Amino acid sequence: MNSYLIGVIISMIVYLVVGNLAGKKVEDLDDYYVSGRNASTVLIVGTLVASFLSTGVFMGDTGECYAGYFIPIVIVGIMQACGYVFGSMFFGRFIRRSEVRTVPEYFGKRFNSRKVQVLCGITTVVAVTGYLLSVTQGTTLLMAELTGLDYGICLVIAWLSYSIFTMYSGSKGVIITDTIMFFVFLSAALVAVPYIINAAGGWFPAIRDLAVFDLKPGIISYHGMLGSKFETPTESVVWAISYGLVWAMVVASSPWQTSRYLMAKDEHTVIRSSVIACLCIIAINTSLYFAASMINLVNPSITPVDKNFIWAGMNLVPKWVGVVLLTGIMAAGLSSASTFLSLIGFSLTNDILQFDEDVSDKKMLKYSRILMLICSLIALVVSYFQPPAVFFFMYFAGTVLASSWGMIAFMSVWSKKITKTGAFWGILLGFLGNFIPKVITEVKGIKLPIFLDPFYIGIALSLIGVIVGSKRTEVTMEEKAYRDKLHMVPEAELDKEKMDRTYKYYKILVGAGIVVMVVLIGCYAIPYGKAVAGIK
Amino acid sequence: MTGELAISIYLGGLVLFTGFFFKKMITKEFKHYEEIMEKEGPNN
Repeated sequence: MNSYLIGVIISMIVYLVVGNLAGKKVEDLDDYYVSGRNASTVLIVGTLVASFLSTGVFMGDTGECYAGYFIPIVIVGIMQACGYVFGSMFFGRFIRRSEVRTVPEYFGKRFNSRKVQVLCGITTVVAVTGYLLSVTQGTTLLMAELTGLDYGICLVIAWLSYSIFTMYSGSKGVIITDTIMFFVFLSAALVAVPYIINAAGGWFPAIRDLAVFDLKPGIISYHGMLGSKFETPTESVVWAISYGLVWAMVVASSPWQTSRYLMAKDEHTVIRSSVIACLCIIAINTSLYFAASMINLVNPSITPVDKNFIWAGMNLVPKWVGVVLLTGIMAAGLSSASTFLSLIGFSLTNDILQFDEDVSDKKMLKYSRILMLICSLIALVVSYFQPPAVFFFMYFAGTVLASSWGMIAFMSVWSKKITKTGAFWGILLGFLGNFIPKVITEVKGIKLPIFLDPFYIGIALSLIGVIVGSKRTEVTMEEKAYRDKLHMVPEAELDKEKMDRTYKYYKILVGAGIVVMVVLIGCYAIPYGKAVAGIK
Repeated sequence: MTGELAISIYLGGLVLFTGFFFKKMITKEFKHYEEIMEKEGPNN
């Protein structure tokens, strides 16, 4: 049995045991759906980051950096991270205030419409199932690569290690295992990145060598390599900034992020955890991206490129660091899978299917678990028979809900004019406007210009739906009353000590801004400029 | 180097802007909280 397999098995046993122990504490539906609404800042940060970072970042994004598009990916990474802060201020704390169990339930109550809730539930199940398939297949492929075991066996192991405790413990277990997994891949990044930089010759020599790297010219220039993905520097920068905005919207409004806030013990926790999550994403992503581009100096021909970190874990670092790194990448995949499975199960039970109101909590809990088991079995079967398409599913699912709900989420809090009809058509058109062009372009192999990206088509149609739908109907008394209630500050938030502590978080953000600027200028832009000037 | 410098300033500036925006929002929001506390009496 190789060391990687031992690491993977030990970590999975830990997740299973901890998740199932947490499941024993589930007493009612609130425990199962929103972990009793008493989670601390550390737990919310853990679940936010763990749900967001998956094999897509550790393999997909680092692959892009390795392939030659380092700065465009860094731009997207930092812009999306800022989405946490804007998201929590304009939407996240209000959804916590609404005290619902799922995000679709919030929309249903806000617009006093079962139809809106069901539609949100269906869009959640469709999009998040895509994401679940992506991370399940990604994690399975990684495990097969590490252990040499058959794809089918690895699929069953991966499936068992996230589905059993998710089904049994719901959010109560997911939030704890997410946090453990967050610390596992955070440690993996912290420990492995310095070794990789060292293997590339050290920080400054590596920056100097990459600045004049002939095999992938322009790999760490501000526009990345030109000639294949991007033709001109402008095209590259426009792509990066527009995708940064798209992903900031995903972070600010997608259910796999905003649903985490439902578990927070108060709104101060929501705000503080969004700041910390923002900084964690910036730190983890940027260090991984730098390391991924530096792997080129040791081996520039790893194929496929998304295996660059796996190769580094097996060849550039001591064995124990490699085990930590590869277990961390697995943890990133599994933590996202557990969140996605729970979201699908919750949406089916709470939002799409309608149970009698007099059904007891105990019975609802039983139905929720059975439905989650069915969903996870379907995901298992599809993942087995569908050829692995990790990045297709991620590309499909990543932005579809942001263009479908994004605008409506913010307007539901801040607009006095939006109505249930506007919300319904906005969600539907936003979803279809993103989904249909995505399928067509993928099947036909069409490359659209940036401004016609399916996300923008979806969000434009969503806005049209909201505006036309809201103009043709009147805001009802119930909708107005719910919005007014959303703007009433709960008594628990009126705590001077908590307010003072939350206020101080701005200093952390401002300090981080200065650090990002100084580090990028001093450790990247200036050494890069000197190396390029030297060759001229 | 100009492009690399510009991107470095842009990214650091974006995080700085987020920090100052956060400060502005939170100041306004907490001022409102304090008004409520003065009117109704603080929780703590």
